[in-house]
Amino acid sequence: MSERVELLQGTLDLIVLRALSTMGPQHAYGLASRLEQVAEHPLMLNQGTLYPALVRLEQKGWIKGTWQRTESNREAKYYAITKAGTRALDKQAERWRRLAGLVDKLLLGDA
Amino acid sequence: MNTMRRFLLRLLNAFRPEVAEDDLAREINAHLALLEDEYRRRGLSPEQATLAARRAIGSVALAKDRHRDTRSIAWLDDLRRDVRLAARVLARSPGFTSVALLTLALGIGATTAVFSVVEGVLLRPLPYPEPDRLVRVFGPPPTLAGIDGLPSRMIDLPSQTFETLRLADRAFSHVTGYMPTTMTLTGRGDAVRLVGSHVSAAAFPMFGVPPLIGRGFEPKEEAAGADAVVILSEAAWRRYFNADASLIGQLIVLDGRGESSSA
Repeated sequence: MSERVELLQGTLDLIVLRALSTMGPQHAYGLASRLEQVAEHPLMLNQGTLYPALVRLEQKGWIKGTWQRTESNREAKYYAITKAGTRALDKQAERWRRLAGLVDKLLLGDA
Repeated sequence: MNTMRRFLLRLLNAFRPEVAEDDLAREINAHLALLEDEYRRRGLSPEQATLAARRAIGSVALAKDRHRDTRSIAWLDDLRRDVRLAARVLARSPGFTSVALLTLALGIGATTAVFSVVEGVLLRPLPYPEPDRLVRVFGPPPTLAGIDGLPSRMIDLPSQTFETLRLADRAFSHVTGYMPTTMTLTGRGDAVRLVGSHVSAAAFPMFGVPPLIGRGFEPKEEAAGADAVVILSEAAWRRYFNADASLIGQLIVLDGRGESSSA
């Protein structure tokens, strides 16, 4: 029985950055479907909820969007991670790991 | 750094929403097209594909709203929209709008004028060092005749009082008496009426304004009968005396009497 997993705020940015870093430039649709594939869980994501995250990352200068053509000759806006984005990704990922570790410890530790 | 960048971009989007709006519409349509292609590839009919695509994306309006909130500054956006609406409504009733604008203009203009005067006369500090320590001492309402022999409109102090104040050197660092006057300058081209003031020698140290050239007054020059000495204002010096530096010590004729200019 699979349930929809809710994403914590702020983690979507991190996930998008990481996805773009590993998969290379993607458009919003590609990103959304690949995320669902990899997660093997229907993320509580309408494909439309990616847009605020994308604009936020673009405004911070961590990703850059350019209009290009897909293989089926449809136009789409491709997003690629920037150098600043790669640096930010490392920092954010580290912060996330630390936070996750801390929460784990608190939850599993003796009360 | 990127927060500043982000803030500026959000500001830009608040004032020029069209750019981002068009781009977003284009992107969402492209997204929908790709989704439709996928569903059609999976075997749905065109109409079903369209429906499925829209469902997969979720509410387009909601996505656009969230995008707008993130990319711009919400209250600025709303403000901009409200101002546009107000402008349209006002344009529809020009009579009312012009009366309202006129009233506003008059009110603002009058208030500004009044404030300018008040600020210049009452609020702005005097252009001297430590202006809050400058005090003007008044006398009782005049029953004495003033300079012209007519009842004085200025409130004068009897010179006795002035001398007494001068002795109170623990209360005051400087005491200056002054008496406004006008004199006629002759002997240099056309006769000119100059406005000035008799002042004590302490005036220049008190206001912390040394003369540009030459010297201030000396206490001994306050005695009656001492050589009449004059200090010219820079404006008068430039205007009537050609900024001639050698004027110092020379005689100029005021009110028919020779006075030597000391600065």
